[in-house]
Amino acid sequence: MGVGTMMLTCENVTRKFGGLWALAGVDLSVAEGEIVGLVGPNGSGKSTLINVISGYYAPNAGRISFREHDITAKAPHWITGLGIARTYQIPRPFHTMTALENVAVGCMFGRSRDSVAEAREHARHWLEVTGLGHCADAPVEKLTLHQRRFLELARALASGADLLLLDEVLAGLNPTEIEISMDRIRGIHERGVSILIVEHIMRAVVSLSQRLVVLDQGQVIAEGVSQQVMRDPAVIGAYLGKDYARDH
Amino acid sequence: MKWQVPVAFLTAGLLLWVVPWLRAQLDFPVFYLIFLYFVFFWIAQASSWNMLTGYSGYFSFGQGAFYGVGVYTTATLVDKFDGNFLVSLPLAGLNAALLGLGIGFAVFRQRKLRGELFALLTLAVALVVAAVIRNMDAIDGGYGVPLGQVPYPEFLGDYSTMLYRLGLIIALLTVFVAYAIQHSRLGQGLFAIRDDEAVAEGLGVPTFRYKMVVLAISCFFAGLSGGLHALQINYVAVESVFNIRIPLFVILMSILGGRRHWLGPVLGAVIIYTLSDRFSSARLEFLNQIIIGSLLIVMVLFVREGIFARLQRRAWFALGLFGLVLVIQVLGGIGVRLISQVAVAMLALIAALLLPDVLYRKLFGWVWVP
Repeated sequence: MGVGTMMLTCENVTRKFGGLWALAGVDLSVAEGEIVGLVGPNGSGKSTLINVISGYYAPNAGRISFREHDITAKAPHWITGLGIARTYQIPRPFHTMTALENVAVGCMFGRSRDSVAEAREHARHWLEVTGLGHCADAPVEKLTLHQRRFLELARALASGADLLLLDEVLAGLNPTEIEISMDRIRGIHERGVSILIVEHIMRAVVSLSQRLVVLDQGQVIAEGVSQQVMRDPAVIGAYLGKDYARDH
Repeated sequence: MKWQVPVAFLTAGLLLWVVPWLRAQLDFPVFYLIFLYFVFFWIAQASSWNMLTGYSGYFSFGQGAFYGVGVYTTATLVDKFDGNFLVSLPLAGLNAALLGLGIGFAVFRQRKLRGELFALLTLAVALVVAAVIRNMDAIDGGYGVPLGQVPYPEFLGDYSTMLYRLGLIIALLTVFVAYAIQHSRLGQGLFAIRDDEAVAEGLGVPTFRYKMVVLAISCFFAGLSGGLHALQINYVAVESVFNIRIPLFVILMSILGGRRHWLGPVLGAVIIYTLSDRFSSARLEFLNQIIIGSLLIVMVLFVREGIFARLQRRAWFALGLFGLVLVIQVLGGIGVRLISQVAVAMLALIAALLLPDVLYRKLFGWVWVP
């Protein structure tokens, strides 16, 4: 797959919960080798979109394709097998295992299908990549939030992901940790992993992404190069209110 | 798996195989053979239960159903159909496995509440199976199944020896499989399911398949061990087969020993059966219930990982105390039988392991290795 070809395409993705339209016809795409930022006010549907892409929820309408596969409403473990992995807003490590064992699960059941022994070796490598090499044998309960976020990342990478869906991976971190995290994310991107990053911390997502997509109330209201998008009146209106946008 | 492991199991098996011969040579009471048979029986039951519940986190209250199906498969084949007893054993396991798979199909594909539904369904199935068997004349019909003298190959020895040896093989097999699963991809997948099934699915673990596989294996061994036990019981009746003892004790034994490791249920089975047997024979039934009940409460509240994990950390202290108490009794002539002396030493072992970490560290601050 050459850089620049379409990797992930969401067409008119719709998902409602009871009476609430969490996603009301979202069109979004990620090209091979891109980092795309997904932003929007709280409740705009960002996490729901991640859940739908990764197969945890089936959309009510619309189509999602990844490379040449139709992944709409398919089983999560099958979608992972194609090369998509996600992290969670609040990290969900396997709490009775060590960091190494956590990542090893990714190695064993992702695209590489390692044996137990191979997985332990490869897991160490992924922990090094995310800067957690020194905590490999620590039980996850002893890890800080920052470390757990990177454990999630290592585990997602270990499953052989070509596309990473990052769900607010910088939330709750102090400025130093944010800088370190951004560097590591850039490093992962340079290794050839495409990224769809959902984030609230504006300067971070603007700096990391080549392209921004803004979601509001389940719909895409703006899309394009980061600086332009942030100046779009519709975007300002969504974040700060229509009055503010009108007056400025 | 390293080759040393099967060799170790085989060696243990061979050593234990000759114990009946040794007993006869040294003129120890036959009681010890029967005692050890029961230890093997409980090791098999507790290990089979734990490989499902301990490893996957899906709590089963249905051990009685799977065990009971095994007992009655052998009883029916041998008594009603004149079947070969040894052949009936794997069939007993198979029947139990099929029952388990049926439950799995009903529950494992649900999205919500599958853990709760599974627990309730296993409880219900145990009651239903008992009722069905009691009402089917072809199997039991409320009359019980008298097995009497059952023919078996001569090389296995006399009746108690045969039970001992077959019980040994079944226990060894069950424990070996528990070990193998723990160290395999299946085991790691199950542990992931136990910790967070949705995340495990997201990482590619085939959760439905893995749960069905471990359920089938667990039920198979429960039924296999049950089939052999039919001969021990000899007059098989619904009330004695389908009571609370089996499902309750496998839970107690695994909780005591530890549910995350294949040795946990083994340790739990040996300790609880020994204590229970000794209290019964000393006519201290009430003490039996008090101590085991209290143990369960303490384990669940304070030592959730089970005593095996602590044994690994306090090996010298705990085993040293066990040995000391045993030796003092033997040399001092205290206690009636060896097995009672062992039981008392076990109580000391448990006390050593249940000592809170804080106190343990104060006592041994100078040798403490964190």
